[in-house]
Amino acid sequence: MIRDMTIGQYYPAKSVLHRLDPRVKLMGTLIFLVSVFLIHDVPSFIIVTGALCLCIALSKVPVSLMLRGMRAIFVIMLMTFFFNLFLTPGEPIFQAGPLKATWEGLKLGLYMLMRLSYLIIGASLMTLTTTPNQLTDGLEKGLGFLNRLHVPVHEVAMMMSIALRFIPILTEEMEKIMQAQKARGADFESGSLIRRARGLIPILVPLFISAIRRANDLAMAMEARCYHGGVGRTRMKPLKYQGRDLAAYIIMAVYLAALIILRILK
Amino acid sequence: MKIIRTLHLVHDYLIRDEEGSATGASRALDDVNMEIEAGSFVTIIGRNGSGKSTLARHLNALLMPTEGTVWVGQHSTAQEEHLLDIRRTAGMVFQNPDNQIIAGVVEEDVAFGPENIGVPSEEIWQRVADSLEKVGMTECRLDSPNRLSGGQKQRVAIAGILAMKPSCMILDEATAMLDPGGRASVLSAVHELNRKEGVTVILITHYMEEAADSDRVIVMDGGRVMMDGKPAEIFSDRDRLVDCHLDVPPVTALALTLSEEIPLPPGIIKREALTSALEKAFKAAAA
Repeated sequence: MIRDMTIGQYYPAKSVLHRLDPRVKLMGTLIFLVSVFLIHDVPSFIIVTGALCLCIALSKVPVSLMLRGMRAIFVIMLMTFFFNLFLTPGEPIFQAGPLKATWEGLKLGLYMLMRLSYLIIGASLMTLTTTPNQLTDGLEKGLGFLNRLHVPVHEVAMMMSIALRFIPILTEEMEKIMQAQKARGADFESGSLIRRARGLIPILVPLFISAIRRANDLAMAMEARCYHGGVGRTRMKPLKYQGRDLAAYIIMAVYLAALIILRILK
Repeated sequence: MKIIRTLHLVHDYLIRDEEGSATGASRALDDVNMEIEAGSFVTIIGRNGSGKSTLARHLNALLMPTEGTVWVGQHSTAQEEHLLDIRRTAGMVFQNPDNQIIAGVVEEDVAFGPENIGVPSEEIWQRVADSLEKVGMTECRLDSPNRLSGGQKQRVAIAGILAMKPSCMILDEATAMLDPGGRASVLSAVHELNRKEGVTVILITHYMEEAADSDRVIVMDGGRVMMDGKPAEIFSDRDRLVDCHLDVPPVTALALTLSEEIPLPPGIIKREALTSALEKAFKAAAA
């Protein structure tokens, strides 16, 4: 059951977005996130919405998958909307007890709602079209300049990809431990919250011990296969920019420039 | 040519108390001297705690000798500047298949070794394809390792070592966690590599049957080499094996029991050898 859950949720398809270099997509997501906060009037709203719709259409990913990602933060979005609606001072729409809804609040709330959902859709569009491996490769290569500031980029990327590989193994192990503890009479489903939280201890302790043991084995196996950090390492699938990646960078630059100019002209 | 030599190899594990300060040492290897011929298939057997895994880790420079020396190829494992050369010469396959696969895709995992030693990209593709072909895992090259069976995972791990083009491969109880089918597939892959590619194989195991097909068997107990010879010689000396807390394979046990009544040649370890020896004995009795 837990094993069906995939981190980053990749959706395999053959589209332009899937083929793009992961560095382009990471940069694109960053630019999109910035552009969402540049929205302040109808023309900019139309540009950003148009860009998002175009990307969704290009990605060949079902829209329902993206909307499913929003369900997780539905409560947060609702709360943000109501806080904005009732706490913004301005011209009142209606009054319910001490709470006063205002027109300004309604406008602000709707903007926040729109921004939050665009952020979620934009970010999930990237993970849906990029495999976790490409993502870590892209981060490693794209953030390579941080090496000069003594940030261990290669090591962090390696840790990320190993973590991704071990998530299914550790969840399977957790299920096994839970079954073993249930067979010994442990009860994880009933009782108060504190009781249930305390019930997690007999799962977490063996899980941690096993994870540490696995890490030890893995480190030894990596050493035996000549792993000695990122220095002098080659790649089987090195990232290389193609013509389409350059085109994507140009489109992204034009898009951001257009939004900034609109903002200044206002 | 000798590919691996050990001379008076001693290894002590430190025993630590709860604060982590050393309170004593337990001797895992005690004056081990052996030479391994390039291209041979050597099985090292011993019960749990006999020192066989510790020995394996010395042959790959994962452990350093407390006393004595280990040479792999041209280099002593104590020379740190040759560490990568040593590990390229002697590849190691471990017991737990899950804990030695690093990447999330089979072909990328096989590429991990060559990537580490700086092989150019085009050659990595070539080596990955060749190695997967040799262990019969080409169809699974794009799969996630999590979807494979234990035997398949171990064959991927072997391919990962092969892609570094080692002249020697050490399998440290690599079949211990597998079902009989998986064990057979891994062993046949390893035997084929030994025959066709001339890779020296050091198979460490506690299954006696696995030793039957090798050129040489080394029996360890208490950190020492107790017996060393051809499988037929080793298995005809049941008393000494029992002294090492081991026993002969079932077929040999049957042959030894039968030989109390029927004249049979010593050193029978395979079923076919037993049937033909029995046929001969019956013909001789009938004549």
